Amino acid sequence: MPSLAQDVIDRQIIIDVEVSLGAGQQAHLYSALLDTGAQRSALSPQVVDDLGLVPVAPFAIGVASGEAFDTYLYHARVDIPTGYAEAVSSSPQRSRMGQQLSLAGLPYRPRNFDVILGMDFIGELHITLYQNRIILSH
Amino acid sequence: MHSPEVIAELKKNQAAYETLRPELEQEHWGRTVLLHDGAVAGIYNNFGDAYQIGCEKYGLGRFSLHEVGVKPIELGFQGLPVYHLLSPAD
Repeated sequence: MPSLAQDVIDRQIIIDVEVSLGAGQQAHLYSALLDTGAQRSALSPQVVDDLGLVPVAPFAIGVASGEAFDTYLYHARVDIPTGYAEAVSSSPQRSRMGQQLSLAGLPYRPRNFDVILGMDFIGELHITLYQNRIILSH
Repeated sequence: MHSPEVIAELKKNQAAYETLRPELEQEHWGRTVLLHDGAVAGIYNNFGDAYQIGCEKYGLGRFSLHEVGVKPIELGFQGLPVYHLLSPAD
């Protein structure tokens, strides 16, 4: 069973993810924020540019004020390469936890991550949070 | 960032979707509508299936997908910087 353990730093859970157009396609490595308050996963403009993603729909993101702003929806694959962090799996080969997702485009590039993994992604994982450490498994 | 042709296709399809929205929300809530050239080309249960079929039939950038009934999403507390960056006061 693929799994990975990671420390919670500055009260944020940031992990490495690979984003690609689909299974078997060339992947790029980014930092991703696990955000249980996000209803859907999202990508920074940097990821869109790097992968040459093409929008598949107009989309709206709501913000705290109650307003919404317009962006686009993209389709891409996001994998957690468990080999890049401390693997707790007994399997010696590099494994992944991933999904093909529709992701909203962010209108800005966050300071310390390029991907937000929302509940559409997180909801498929088993998560254990213990003493400032998170264990993800699938 | 995106080609004018892709944006034009999205806008044309968005206009068509808005016209059909009441009917679609009544009959196809939760499904994904595939639109091409301002017309409905198919309605699917799964976004990924609709994407695959759109790519195969029309090619990426020549169709759009609309999830029936989906409201603007929230990005959570961590998404708050979005508000500050877009605020006219900034």
